[in-house]
Amino acid sequence: MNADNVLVKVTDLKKHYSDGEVHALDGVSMNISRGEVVVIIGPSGSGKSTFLRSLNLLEEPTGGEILVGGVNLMDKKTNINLHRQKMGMVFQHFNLFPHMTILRNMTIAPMKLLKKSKEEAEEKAMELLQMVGLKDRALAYPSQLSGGQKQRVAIVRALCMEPEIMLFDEPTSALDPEMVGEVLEVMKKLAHDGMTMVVVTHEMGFAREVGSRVVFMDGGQVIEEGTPDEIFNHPKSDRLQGFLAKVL
Amino acid sequence: MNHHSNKKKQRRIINISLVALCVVILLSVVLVDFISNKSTTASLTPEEAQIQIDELIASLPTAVAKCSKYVVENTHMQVLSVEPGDKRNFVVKVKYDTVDVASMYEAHKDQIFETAWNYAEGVKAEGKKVNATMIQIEVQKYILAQLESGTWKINGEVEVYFYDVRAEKLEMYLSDDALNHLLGGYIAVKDDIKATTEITVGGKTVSIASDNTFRNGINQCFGLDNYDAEVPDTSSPLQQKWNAVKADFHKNFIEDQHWKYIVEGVGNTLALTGLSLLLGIVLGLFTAIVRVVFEKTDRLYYLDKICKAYVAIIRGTPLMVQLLIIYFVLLLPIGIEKFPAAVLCFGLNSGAYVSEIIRGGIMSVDAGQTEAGRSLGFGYGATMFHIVMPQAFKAVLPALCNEFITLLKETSVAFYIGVADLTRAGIKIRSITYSNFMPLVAVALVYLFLVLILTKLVGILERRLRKSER
Repeated sequence: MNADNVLVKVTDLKKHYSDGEVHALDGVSMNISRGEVVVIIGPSGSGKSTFLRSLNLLEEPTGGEILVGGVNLMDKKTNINLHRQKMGMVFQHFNLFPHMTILRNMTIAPMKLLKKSKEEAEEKAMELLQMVGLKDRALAYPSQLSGGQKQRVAIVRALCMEPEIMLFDEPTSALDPEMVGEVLEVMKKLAHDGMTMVVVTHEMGFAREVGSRVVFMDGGQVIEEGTPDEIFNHPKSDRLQGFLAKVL
Repeated sequence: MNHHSNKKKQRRIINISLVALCVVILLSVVLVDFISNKSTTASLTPEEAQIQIDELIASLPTAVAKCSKYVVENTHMQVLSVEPGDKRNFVVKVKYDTVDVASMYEAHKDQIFETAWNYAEGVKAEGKKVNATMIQIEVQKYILAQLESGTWKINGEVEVYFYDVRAEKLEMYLSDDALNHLLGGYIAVKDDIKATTEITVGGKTVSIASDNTFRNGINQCFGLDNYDAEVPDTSSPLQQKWNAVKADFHKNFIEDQHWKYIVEGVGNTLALTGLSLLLGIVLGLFTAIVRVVFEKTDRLYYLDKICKAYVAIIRGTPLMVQLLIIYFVLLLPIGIEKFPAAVLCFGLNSGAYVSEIIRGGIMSVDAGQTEAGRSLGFGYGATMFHIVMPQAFKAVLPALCNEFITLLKETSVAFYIGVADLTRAGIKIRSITYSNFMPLVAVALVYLFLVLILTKLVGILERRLRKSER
């Protein structure tokens, strides 16, 4: 894991809300290398979602530095829209565009932003739908899909932009239990294919099995990080031990 | 499921057939009226009719000679507005007992001209800010002009034609229809003249046994065998009522093609509504976007303040007052026409309401949609355009259509600045025929009809939209 391989370098990231003494992020630093799957766990309100959403500036941090491929995202001169194209994001509530077909959901961004032709964009989209087993639903509308299907579409919609990194914000939290598996399968496949991923999740099984690194956050800080084995089998801090005792 | 949709289908068929039935009934009433009114003269071509009328006119003095006295008196006159060149029928009551039409005129020409003065005073009484003296002259001229070539309508029943007034050689000509009304109508009402037993016209003398044969006798005298005279009413009271309604309908809509006012009015009302809505949507969209951008990003501070003031002013003042100010205070002095002024006023008015509707629509779109758009790399504007606005628009389309319907009805105040809209058509017909019921109710029905059609269309649209969401 040499320094050249670092894709995202976060230094002392802070998010303070102006109205009070709430520190959603309180000095988080993290390096994410290419091909790495970073799984962030922690109790709710620990700042893990805020951290993830800060990576593509959906939340604006109030301090610190985010370097993606060497470019500082916090710099006002940086064109954030260009960087977001390379950072796919998957939301808890899918956020598919309800007024478009699945295919259109997947092709609109490549066509408008990457200036791909319709044929090219659709070919790529169909390929990805095939991968997640939803090729036959290409012309359906999001409301006609189950939660698991929607989330799989949301993942491949992000993939259509050919991102360098994928951010997952609790992708299975809004799903019925029997649909969690199908989404995790797709994520595993992605990880297996070498995609750089940052995943905020409560799925400890996934963290243990797929994560190349697990980060435990609480109170807006990184409390402990390490390999799944270190985190789950040999937790050092009291807070992690307490957390694991509750969730496992 | 199937059963349910079948039921729906049935209901729809019933609905459609009900509407169709209404349309057929309306059309047939109009048609029957048209045909039945035609049929009284249908056996004559215009040329033939003209010949017979000429004959009638030639033989007329003798017929009128049966009368002994003639009085023209002004009974009532409603003056709503005066427009130069406006053709106007005076309502004058005629009592005829005199033999000599020329002397009748001599004796009463002052009264005839008094009509003109009354007319002028009527104008003054309405409070129009015009020079009264000037109007009097105008009206006098108008009266003369009418007497030269035009028609005086007497109580809406008798048409009396005056020719060549200036030569002081007045002759009174009656149209065949008018004569029938004049003599027949009088005799039917007045018992003392019912005693008349014979009438001499053009050398022929005809005996009269009853009202009915009196009329026939006249027809005979004039050789109007083809003239399918209206038989005096011996029908049932219900039938008479119906006939009266038909006559009223004819007077208000068919005569002098009054229905054309309504058609023109509908056209203008729809054009006014459509153009205003277009302007309203453009203004509303702009205002809504400015306000949302300010709310979400704190940009466009001053523009937002202006938009807020605009919405507050428009929503806080009556539409009528807005119309009067926009036309009389702002646009009339710089020479802008009524119609564009009305479009501007209703556009501005509707824009304020539309902006609130659209703003609500934008706010109703889940914030996750914006985040999803932004996370894919779309900028704020592109996210708005491709992702938020289509959903917002879909959500508010029914509300927008309802705004359209409201606007359609609200444009009725445009008559106040003189736009020839549907409401004004009713008012105009009313001022010509002095009827209230027919023209006003007709206007209301046309509005209702338009609104029902639009409501139906909105319903279909809504169902379509819901389908694509599912």
